[in-house]
Amino acid sequence: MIRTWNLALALSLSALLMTNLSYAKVKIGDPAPAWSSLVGVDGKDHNLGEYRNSKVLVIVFTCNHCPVAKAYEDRLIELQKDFGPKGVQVIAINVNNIPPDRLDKMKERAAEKGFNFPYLYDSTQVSGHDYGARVTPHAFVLDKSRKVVYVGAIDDSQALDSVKVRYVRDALDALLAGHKPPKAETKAFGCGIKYDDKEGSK
Amino acid sequence: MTRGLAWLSATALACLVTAGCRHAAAPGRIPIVDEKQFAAVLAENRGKVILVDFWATWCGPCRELFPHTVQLHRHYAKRGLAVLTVSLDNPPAEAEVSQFLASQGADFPSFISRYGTSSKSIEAFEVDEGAIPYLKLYDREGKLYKAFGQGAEEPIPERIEAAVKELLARTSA
Repeated sequence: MIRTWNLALALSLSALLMTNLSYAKVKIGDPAPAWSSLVGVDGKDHNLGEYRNSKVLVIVFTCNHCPVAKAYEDRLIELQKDFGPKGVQVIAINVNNIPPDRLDKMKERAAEKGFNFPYLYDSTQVSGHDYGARVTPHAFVLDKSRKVVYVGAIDDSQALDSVKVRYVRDALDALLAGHKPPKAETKAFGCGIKYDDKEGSK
Repeated sequence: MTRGLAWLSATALACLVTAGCRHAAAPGRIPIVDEKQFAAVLAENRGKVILVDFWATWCGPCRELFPHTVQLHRHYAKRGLAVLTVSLDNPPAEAEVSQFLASQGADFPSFISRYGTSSKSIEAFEVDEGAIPYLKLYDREGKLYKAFGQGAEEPIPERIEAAVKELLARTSA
């Protein structure tokens, strides 16, 4: 009896530990985790709710230093240019705390590139954990009811001339036409996000 | 000698199955492989402990870790460790890959994923969470023993070496 109890206790303890160590990761159909008070390169605080007038949101976890993330900067600008008028808002969030990715450098980069979308800094990294962002860039598309409808890569290749499928654009086209994205999940690729808490990267 | 043969056969294999044959055979050129061709290279090394380092020239942490991979090869090749590397650079960046490998003194078979930096590479080579460096360690039977990188064990040099030593000791008996 005691042994059984010990086993039960051990199991529940390990379950508890697992819960603490493995951060939440959104699944397709989940409500998008809210975030608030994320400072943008405009110096203002931003929260998910303020974009309520946009039909669809594209949240991209990205950063300054990563060459893969850089390769997608122009593609994000184009995305906002093409889909902004249709009610889509691109929001870039950086959660890396290494010096080249800090807010001052983010401001420089946004100005250099002329970002036409908010670029927000989450030094707490909580939003990255909540969404389960693993690499930069890692895209999450949220529908009108702010459910997660697409998770993964922006398109299928960093090399622009090798791109065959533009996952996020395809998802947006489908959503705006009242359909589900043709592909809800793809493999994101890029630089690993540098979570301060190593366990968070599990 | 054996190493030389393995390298030659890896190159020859890439020659057989890719359009880049002429280039692959030329000095300093890196064979460009898909997952099937790479699986064949793994199979050729069956009987050895195999460490595969997935990396790219654009990846800072990969470049930092790479010298350790070279060292592991130097220290443990004689004891039965085979080291292979797969770059997830885009194939047109082959010159940069080749240059980096030469600067590191990498004298083991190295490859470039034919899918480059893409979703397909991540899927085809099963790089768990899409981030590199990612290292896979196989036992002498070709079974994946451990992976190091995001989503797996942290890629700390000491831990990788300990796992290599453990596997060499365990399976050479």
